[in-house]
Amino acid sequence: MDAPLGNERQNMAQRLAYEEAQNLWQEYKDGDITALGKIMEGYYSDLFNWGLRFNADREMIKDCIQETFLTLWKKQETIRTVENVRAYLMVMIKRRVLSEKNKQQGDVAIDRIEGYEFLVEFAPDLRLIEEEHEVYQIKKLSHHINRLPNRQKEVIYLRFYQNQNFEQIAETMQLGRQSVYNLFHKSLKSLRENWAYGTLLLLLWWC
Amino acid sequence: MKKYEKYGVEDFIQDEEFRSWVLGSSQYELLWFNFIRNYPEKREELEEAERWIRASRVSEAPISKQEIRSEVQRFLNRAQDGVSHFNEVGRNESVLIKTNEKPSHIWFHAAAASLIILTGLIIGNHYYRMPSPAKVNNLVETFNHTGKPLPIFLADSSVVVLSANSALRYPSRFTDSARIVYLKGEASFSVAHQGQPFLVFSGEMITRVLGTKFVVNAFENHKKYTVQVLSGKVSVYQGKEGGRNPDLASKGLILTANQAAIYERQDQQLFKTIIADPQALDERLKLKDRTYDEVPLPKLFEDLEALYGITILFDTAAFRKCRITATLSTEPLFEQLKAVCKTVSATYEIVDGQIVINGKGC
Repeated sequence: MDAPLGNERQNMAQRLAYEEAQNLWQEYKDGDITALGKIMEGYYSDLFNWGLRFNADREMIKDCIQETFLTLWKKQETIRTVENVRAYLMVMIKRRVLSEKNKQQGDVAIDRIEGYEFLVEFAPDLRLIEEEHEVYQIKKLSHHINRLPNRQKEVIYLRFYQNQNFEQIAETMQLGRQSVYNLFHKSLKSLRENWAYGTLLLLLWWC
Repeated sequence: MKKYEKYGVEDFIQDEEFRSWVLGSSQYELLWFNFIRNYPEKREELEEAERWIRASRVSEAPISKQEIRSEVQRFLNRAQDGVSHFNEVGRNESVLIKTNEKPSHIWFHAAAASLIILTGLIIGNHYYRMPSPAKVNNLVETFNHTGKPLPIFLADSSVVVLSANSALRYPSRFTDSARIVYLKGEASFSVAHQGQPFLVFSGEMITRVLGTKFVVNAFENHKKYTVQVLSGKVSVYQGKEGGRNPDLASKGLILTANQAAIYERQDQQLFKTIIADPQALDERLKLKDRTYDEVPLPKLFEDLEALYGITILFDTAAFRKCRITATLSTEPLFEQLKAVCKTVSATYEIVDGQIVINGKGC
């Protein structure tokens, strides 16, 4: 059941280091398109995965990434210095995917800031784990994470999957740092509360 | 060594080395194995951190490297079509490429060449064998019709700027043993530092590096092939694709930044020379104006040597008495030399990758 994760690993592009991204951003600002191309390449996997959280159509996400970078290149002369390139790009992608989705569905009334659905299915990575109890623990945790409300899942996803710190999560979600912190701890609390009688739930879910 | 013994669950989760170990990289196997053995009391926190990382994976098959590269390429092509200031991009590369197109007085005449370039780092590796190109599969070919330099991103993060009317064939993924690409025409390479060597096959010429910046010129219908080194250190050897190991001890040349090699086929001789427009080793120094007021000429030559990393040979005794007053800024090196030599009735020539000043002095 966890086989698909096997091949993916070596296929995954290396995430750009923070310092390198900041330097490349400066070079892009100075008019170097290859620098922007490198940023795109280095963060593509993250951005693509992130885009799919708002719309499941892979081709549409690819197009949104294309358009976002073309916009960046057109705005090259007026672009500002950004504190965190990855978080900045993630905000842009999220905005574009949500607005494209709204256009497609014609749902102008939907409140995009709060009303979107965060599409994620956490799936435990159980490779090389032999101990049955440990397998069970991880599956249980995964199961509970999947049952959290949308915003909390988004925080968990950014924290554990994209490995962002609270500062970056706040920037990506366009929330205050304290709100992110609260969301995160609410999630942890609810996960710990579920821990005790999680056994029964998990057994049901397992069958 | 990081202070892992003071780490809590949160710290382990955020640590990239820990994450990649949990997610199956064998690179840090020993590190964490030893850590658990030395700090058994940390086991519980380590396990909880591992649980969190494993539980929060996301199942969608991520996008492949090939797919990413083709998307980046699509973006670069589209940006080029629509935006007029693309020509400004890659200024350094295009300067070097242009100088290469019109034969310059400093180039030796050379027939079709056959060279192998090895970086200085691997000199003495007598056991090296050229991998057979036939084994490489899944090659992608890009032909540059655009009339402008075209950047291509390779799977290992190396960047190739392909000149007009040139073609590059490259695997969508590199094998573990070597990174091999095939060039017809001209391209400048910025090779990412990595363990396995990077090879450019072009006609009868092979260029081999471990991570440096250089330009290969190998148009099929041109009479000579050249390799120019922009940064790093490279060695050039005589040899043929598929042939025996190059004789590293006898026929090699070492090239440093701003130097170039030409192989003359008829005489089977390798020549060292200087690239047409040498660049300052440190970009920041290049932009500074250098003002000389009644300064002995040898001092100026020494400054140029340091700035461009090129040896300048001259008769110190003869030129010591020559005093020079000048302001040098961003003019090309050979323009600067021409101007200086003129004031003291001297001439310069390029011999074996060095500059030799001839003149009677003052």
